[in-house]
Amino acid sequence: MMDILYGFLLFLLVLNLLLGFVRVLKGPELVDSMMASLLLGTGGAALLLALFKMTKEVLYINLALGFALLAGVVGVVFAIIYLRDPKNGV
Amino acid sequence: MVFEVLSIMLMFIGAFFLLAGSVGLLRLGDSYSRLHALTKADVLGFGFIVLSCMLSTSLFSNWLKLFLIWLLVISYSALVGYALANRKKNA
Amino acid sequence: MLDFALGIMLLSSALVSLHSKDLMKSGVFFLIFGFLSGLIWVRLEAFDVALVEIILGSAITGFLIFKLVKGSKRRALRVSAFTKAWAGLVSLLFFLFMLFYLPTIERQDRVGRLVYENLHKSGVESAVNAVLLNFRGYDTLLEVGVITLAIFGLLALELKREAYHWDNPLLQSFSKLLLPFIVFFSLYITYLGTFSVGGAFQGGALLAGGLVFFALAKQSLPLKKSLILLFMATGLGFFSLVGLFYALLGYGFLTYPLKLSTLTLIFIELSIWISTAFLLYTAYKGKL
Repeated sequence: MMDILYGFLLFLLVLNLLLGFVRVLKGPELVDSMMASLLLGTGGAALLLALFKMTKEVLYINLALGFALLAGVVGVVFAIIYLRDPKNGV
Repeated sequence: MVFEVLSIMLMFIGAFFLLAGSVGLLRLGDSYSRLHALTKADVLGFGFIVLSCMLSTSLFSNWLKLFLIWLLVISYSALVGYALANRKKNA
Repeated sequence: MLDFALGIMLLSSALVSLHSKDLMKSGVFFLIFGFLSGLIWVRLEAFDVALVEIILGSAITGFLIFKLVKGSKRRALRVSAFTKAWAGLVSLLFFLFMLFYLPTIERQDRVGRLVYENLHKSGVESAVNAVLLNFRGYDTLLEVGVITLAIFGLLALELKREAYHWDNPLLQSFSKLLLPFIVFFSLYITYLGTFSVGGAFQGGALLAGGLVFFALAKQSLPLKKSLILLFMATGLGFFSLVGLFYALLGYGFLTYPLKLSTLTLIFIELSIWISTAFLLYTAYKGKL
């Protein structure tokens, strides 16, 4: 029973990652790809937390924390470097 | 046992909201509304998942770490949403 | 199911990254590739690699790649059809080799068993760090030496580079608030290395990410240049001094006495932590 529930949960989380990835591939502009990759990041952290819940190993929390501390830096860097000169914007 | 059931339910609610966020990301028309869908999913879905993990441990250090993870993820999501939208608008 | 989906995503992001005409798009997909491979390392239970992959990929690598692409003149790589065919053939052969040959090898765990048998002599309880700092100390020392030399070489070039930052008040206050947490948790991860997943390189990468984020908001650290130089040289200097010290006492180079090994290794980890952080930070700044 528990196994089926956790399996379904992992399926939902992976589906989430896949949907985000489709948007990464499609994204008409690069900004869309970058945004969707942030969703991938959140989905990955959620996956780590679900794995923590299944195995009760603290190191998954440490991994998620290490990720969360720098989660959005790439997005900010992208905003600063890529979206600066007019020809790359909308 | 009650906590176990409750925490699994919370986790499913969280996964549902995350999924809703990515469906929004996939279906909405332009960049700004997609950004809106993305940041909402972060706050709500991830919050529920963190809450369910908090219910399943009893260590104080784990609670602290989980709370910090949640705080960081939502503040980064707000910050990145702001930065991307602002720079895109002013570019 | 989970692993299959992760593998599909990994391969397709690698393909897009290789085939896109726009170098910036290649960069974005390369970062996604890095993150996904971090998740795959988690699934393969290589947690130390996963930690360093995720931490480095989310700050330093992203910055360096975007900056490189922005600064370079060429918009995309031109590869001739012959090269493509050749590379495709080689990778196809390698793939077939892995598919058919690797599952037939019997798994031999000689080295792993040797590590676990001698773990109590190393002074740390984590197998990875025992290998890294004690059993194969030479390799780690030389690795630290290589990064140190590379970054000092970068400083010697005195490149004139465009600085990218954004003096936005929101960014400034957020990164200022975040920095104490990052310092604390990078120390925590470094300390975790003595008995669990973590270690000096992971902690140093985390601290470097925090410093880069701090500097992106057009703020400068209240540290003197000489202090930063000292931090950069600490890892190599302290590690080799400790090795020489024990060699003079008669234990042999990079061989630690049993009683003092835990303490020694903790100090070595701390020195590598601070120097990794400041080396990567200097790689970001390009100057002191």
